Amino acid sequence: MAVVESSEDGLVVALRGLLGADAVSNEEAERRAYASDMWPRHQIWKMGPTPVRHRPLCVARPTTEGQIQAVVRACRAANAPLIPYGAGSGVCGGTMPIRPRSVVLDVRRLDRLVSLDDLDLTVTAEAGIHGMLFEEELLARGYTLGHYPSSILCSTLGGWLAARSAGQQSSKYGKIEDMVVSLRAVLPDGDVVETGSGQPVDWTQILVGSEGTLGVVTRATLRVHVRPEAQVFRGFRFRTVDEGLHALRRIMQAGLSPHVARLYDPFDTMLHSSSKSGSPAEEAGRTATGPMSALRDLFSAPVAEVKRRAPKAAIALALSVPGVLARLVEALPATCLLILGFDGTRSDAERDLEAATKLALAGGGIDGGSGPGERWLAHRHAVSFKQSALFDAGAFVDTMEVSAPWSRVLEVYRGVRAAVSPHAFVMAHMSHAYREGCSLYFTFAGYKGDAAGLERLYDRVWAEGLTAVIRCGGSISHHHGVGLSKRDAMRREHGAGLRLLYSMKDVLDPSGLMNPGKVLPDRAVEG
Amino acid sequence: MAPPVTDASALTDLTRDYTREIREATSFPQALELGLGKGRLAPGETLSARSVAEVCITLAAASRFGGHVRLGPAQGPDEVGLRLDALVGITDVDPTSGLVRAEAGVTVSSLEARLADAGLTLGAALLATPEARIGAAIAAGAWPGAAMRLEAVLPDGTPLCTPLAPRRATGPDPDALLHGLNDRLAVLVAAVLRLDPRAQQSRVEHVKGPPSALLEAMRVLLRDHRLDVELSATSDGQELTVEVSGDDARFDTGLALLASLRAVGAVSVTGGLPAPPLGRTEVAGWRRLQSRVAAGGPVWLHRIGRHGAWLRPGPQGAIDDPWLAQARAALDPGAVLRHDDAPLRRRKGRAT
Ligand SMILES: Cc1cc2nc3c(=O)[nH]c(=O)nc-3n(C[C@H](O)[C@H](O)[C@H](O)COP(=O)(O)OP(=O)(O)OC[C@H]3O[C@@H](n4cnc5c(N)ncnc54)[C@H](O)[C@@H]3O)c2cc1C
Repeated sequence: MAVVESSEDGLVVALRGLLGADAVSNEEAERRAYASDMWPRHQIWKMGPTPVRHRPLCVARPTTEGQIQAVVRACRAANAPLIPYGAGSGVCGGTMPIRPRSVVLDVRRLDRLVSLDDLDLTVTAEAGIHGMLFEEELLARGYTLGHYPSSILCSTLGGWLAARSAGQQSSKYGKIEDMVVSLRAVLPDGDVVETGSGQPVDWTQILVGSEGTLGVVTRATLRVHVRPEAQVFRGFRFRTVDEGLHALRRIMQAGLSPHVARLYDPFDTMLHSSSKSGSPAEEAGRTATGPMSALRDLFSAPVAEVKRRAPKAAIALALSVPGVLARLVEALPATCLLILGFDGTRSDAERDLEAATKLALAGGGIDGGSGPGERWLAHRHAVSFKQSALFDAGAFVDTMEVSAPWSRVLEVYRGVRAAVSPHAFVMAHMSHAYREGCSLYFTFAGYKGDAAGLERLYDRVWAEGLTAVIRCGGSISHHHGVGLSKRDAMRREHGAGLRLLYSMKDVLDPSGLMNPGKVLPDRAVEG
Repeated sequence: MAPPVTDASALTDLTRDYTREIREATSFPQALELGLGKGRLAPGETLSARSVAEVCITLAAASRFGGHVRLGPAQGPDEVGLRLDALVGITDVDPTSGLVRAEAGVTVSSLEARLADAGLTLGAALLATPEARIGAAIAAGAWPGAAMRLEAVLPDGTPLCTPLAPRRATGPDPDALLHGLNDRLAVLVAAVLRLDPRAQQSRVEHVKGPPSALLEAMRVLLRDHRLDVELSATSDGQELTVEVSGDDARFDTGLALLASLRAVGAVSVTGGLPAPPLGRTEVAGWRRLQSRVAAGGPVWLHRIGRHGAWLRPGPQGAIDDPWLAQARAALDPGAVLRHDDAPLRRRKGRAT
């Protein structure tokens, strides 16, 4: 696609005047770097003739809220789209500059922990603060936010809020929308709004999840907890996903709050069992040969190892016959691993683990000791950085995280597997559990010999997967957000309720310049 | 698992075109007659809706023919009144997920009675106002977070359901545009409420003592510990009465709390807490709770937890948010919906 923006653009000059020359860049390398987030579709594009499709006009890096206001007003005056940017770890194309003359607003220079309130147990921080540095600073002061997304090493507070993020400890600490008390944001007209209780409209929950389409979050106040004294783990093996789900539900509905609650389906269980202490199924998985072993290596071996142990041909072979693979996995003498963890004072954590253990055993679980949980803890941030090896092999991998009430979870699990399995290999775990239901996290991988075919396959897998989710009674996203990738499914997610969301967009951003094209489907094609 | 019973399609038929019945009409009175039946409702009269479909048809008729619908008794010949008290369907109990769908006119007490067989309860915070009607309470801003889904009808008669999911990341939360807005953007007709398991044998204890000392004792304990009990309280400015309720078999943490309250001067009392006012509920931190209690006057606290509590009475007054007024104008260009409570003022200016 021809890129028509000129480096002499008056807006770039104006922004430099506002922020200083070194805070605005339109260098080619930067524009390419900010052309995409971690949406796996970009990896497919990289295999074809047009790897970079949409570059921003420039990247602006303000250091204060006042500067953000100035940038917002300048873009408005120049009728240029503005895209708030955290760390670009989003996986839905949320920061992609799809309209010409888009300015990317990187908020990472607003990175202070502003204050801690020991009485209310709240923290106030600027939106650009880096996830892990934020948590480490809290831990050093004796607190925790309890928010540990797998991307904590490469995401920001503002990005978490904008995309309704969930951490690995959400079963106890909640998602980011449960943690936030209030926030400040620069609105599309450049004014600042401060939300909080005492106002008739809960603007916090309208700005949270808006993915940069209603304004730029500049700071937020969130609930924190006293740093837990101890954490304890126990793993259990169940014969079926159904049995494991039943036990997990009983535990959540007994009022227990495990900080870690993860139930893996049979194949995902196989990946999580690297020691010799597993079940016969895990042993079978470990010793599998042929396409099964290629597939196992694809998902579980370190990046460098994948290329050595699972050559392209084996990956292609394995993923070319996803239906056969699905049947092979089903034929394994399967078990499902449930990892439970409790934190807090040592006595509280142990008391709750004991109560949960009773329920797990009563539900048919076999006690697997503390090993699986401790292994998970040791690798909790290492799991997700293996994409490139798969893409190198001409395949794609992506994840679809959805949610449903307990009465629908099994149906969603089966429905998505049935819909996706003919086209791609699919496995799942349930890692965010609540009293009323949980999230289902599907990982799927597909292969086609050429980039165009791969992209078509990718679209088909998503379309059929999301259709199955909605048909079976689930919600299309639990924590990755909507961005571009799920935008068109929003019509089915919200139905006529979408009109409420459009009304907010129209009121706050009548010129439609804030992160255009994201979250809300185009009204022109409204059915 | 039990079969799924909380099914959107069984609730409000979202695919149905509620204007179908009034397609042939040429005036507001005729549309009401065609849609609702002869003699059921005419301009200047008030309808006690028996189904969500009747709400949709009434609004669709008004929207199409320039009529108006007042939530409450009709006050003039160009409008009809609409009451929701007769919307009393409790259509789905989902014991697996701990959810129930109740229509707007259902009272807390009648719903609680229906839940007994399923082993579920609405919990102390909702049971504190047994006469409250689900729709009015949520529209008024009571019970933040108690509903997992809201169902409403837009001013042009289109029904909507917000997504049914324990948590989601699908844009801004549309519930925030329905909860506490007194039906300004859409008429709330039903809610799917979150429930607690009902204890085999429940236990309730009350203690009374100096407000700030008791609040502080609760804060300190909750800071580090998770309790297996539900905590409510009310203050008349002089004394705070605390209610500790839960499952008798798991009351240990409740006893620990009672001991720490007694240590700062609480004494046991009998009798329950008075019912709180129904309006808006504030989710308040400890600092705010302390200052509200210290300021005197009656105050109710529910769902007391690590970070504070529900505080009632919450903020009072008209909903005079300027953006809301604009959103309303967009969703209801014919000003179909009329309200008895304070008007929605259009104010210039921003929150900051
Ligand atoms: C390896 C990996 C693992 C992941 N694991 C998880 C996980 O466990 N849990 C989870 O929830 N997510 C996960 N994600 C997804 C991603 O990390 C989250 O969506 C995260 O919240 C994005 O944060 P970010 O700062 O990178 O935001 P970005 O990707 O930069 O932006 C995301 C969206 O938010 C908007 N935005 C960013 N900052 C602001 C702001 N200040 N104001 C307004 N809008 C803003 C952007 O415009 C965009 O629409 C994972 C991603 C990767 C690559």
